[in-house]
Amino acid sequence: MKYLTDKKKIERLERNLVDIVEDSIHLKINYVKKKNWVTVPIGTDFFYDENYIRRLPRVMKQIGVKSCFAIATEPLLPESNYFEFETTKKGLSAFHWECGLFRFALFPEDLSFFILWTVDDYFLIAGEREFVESAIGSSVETAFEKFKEWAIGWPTEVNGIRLGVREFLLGIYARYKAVNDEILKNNEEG
Amino acid sequence: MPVYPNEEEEINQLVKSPIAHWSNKLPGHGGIYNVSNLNLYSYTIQNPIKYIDPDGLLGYYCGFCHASGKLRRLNERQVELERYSDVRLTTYTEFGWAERTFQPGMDNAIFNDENKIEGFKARNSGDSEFFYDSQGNMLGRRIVGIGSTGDELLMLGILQGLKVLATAGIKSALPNLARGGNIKSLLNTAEKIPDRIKQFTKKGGFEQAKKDFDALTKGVKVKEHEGGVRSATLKSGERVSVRPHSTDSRPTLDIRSPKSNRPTKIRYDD
Repeated sequence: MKYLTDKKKIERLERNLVDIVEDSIHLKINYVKKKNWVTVPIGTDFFYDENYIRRLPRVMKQIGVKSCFAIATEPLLPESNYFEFETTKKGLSAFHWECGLFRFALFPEDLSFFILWTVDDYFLIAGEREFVESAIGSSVETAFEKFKEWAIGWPTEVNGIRLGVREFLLGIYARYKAVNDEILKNNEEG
Repeated sequence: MPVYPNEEEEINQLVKSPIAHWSNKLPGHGGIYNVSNLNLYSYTIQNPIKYIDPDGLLGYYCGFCHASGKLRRLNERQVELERYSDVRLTTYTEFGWAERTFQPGMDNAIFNDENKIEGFKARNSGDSEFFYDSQGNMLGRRIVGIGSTGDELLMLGILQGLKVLATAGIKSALPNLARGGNIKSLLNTAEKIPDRIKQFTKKGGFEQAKKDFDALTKGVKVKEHEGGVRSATLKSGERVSVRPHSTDSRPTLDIRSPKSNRPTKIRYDD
């Protein structure tokens, strides 16, 4: 994993973020629609599943992506915000260790997919349906149901302390489910 | 103290009892006012050959031993103590000093989330027990019947972090005990979220989150990012961050260990 210093490249990557990311934790709906991507929210609990960590780099390589940028989507100190890592298990683990405490976007040079790492509770995988389904190891529909089930599993209160995670995650579910359904419908219609 | 919320008042009353007060504040654990001190060698648990106590601050023998990081697993049933430190806790009962003994082994080992031995449970047959740290602060209390176990109390002691009296014989063990101990102490002040791995919640909002972060990162370099996010790498290798707003709008303290991808999170609510 290396830190990026090429200013021109960084500027270009930053412009990508402006086009694609909203409020550091969402993907812009218009961009997703324009690219005809499917977007799936994944509970971060599943990220720690070894299967994901093994599968993601493999799937990235399968579509010819050998390295991936990791760009902070929140303001961080210099040398904490622009990285490039190899699409290997080791590279992904290095990203996780170096950037896992912060909000980051992972995407390749050709923007063939986009992963939004939000630190808390979920991350988003967006791209062609085939890529996304290979990356998550299930159909998009199953992944949505799994996410919903996981979100509902969060308690709303623990010994008098309120928790807003469930409500928030169900909002994420609804947002991206609606976008996916709309894109699917448009595709079917023509 | 979250583990014993209903006993707080009782604890306070007992802590205020004179003998408990003296035993915390005075060298020699209450001096002549503590009847157990009338015994010539009580200051070394009747064993002046094994123990020395030049400054009179040595705690009484408890038998709770901690060998974190010092153990090697031989097989499913056996661990080898590569280096053993006789770490002592002060215990106090309403009826005098209690003595606890045990042999560390797989039967009474306590494992952490990574299946590593964190400490040991001790068998006891005491009454009311108090555990204190090296500064005389009470860590916990448990009333136990004869023949019952002090597992819960000892668990509390372990989770609370450092809980030993620093004497010449055990000082070398302290850095190992301290490693990660602060994180465990911190987690013991939070509520575990059921059915969620390494997820905790706690009251106090961002102010409490910052306090907890400061306590964890004392003595290490802290990065102050824009937007209020702060991060640091602890001497023990964990990376820690605190942020004023997480995705569900609550402040969150996030701890990542180099040994595990899965983070530990505490969410703070006002």
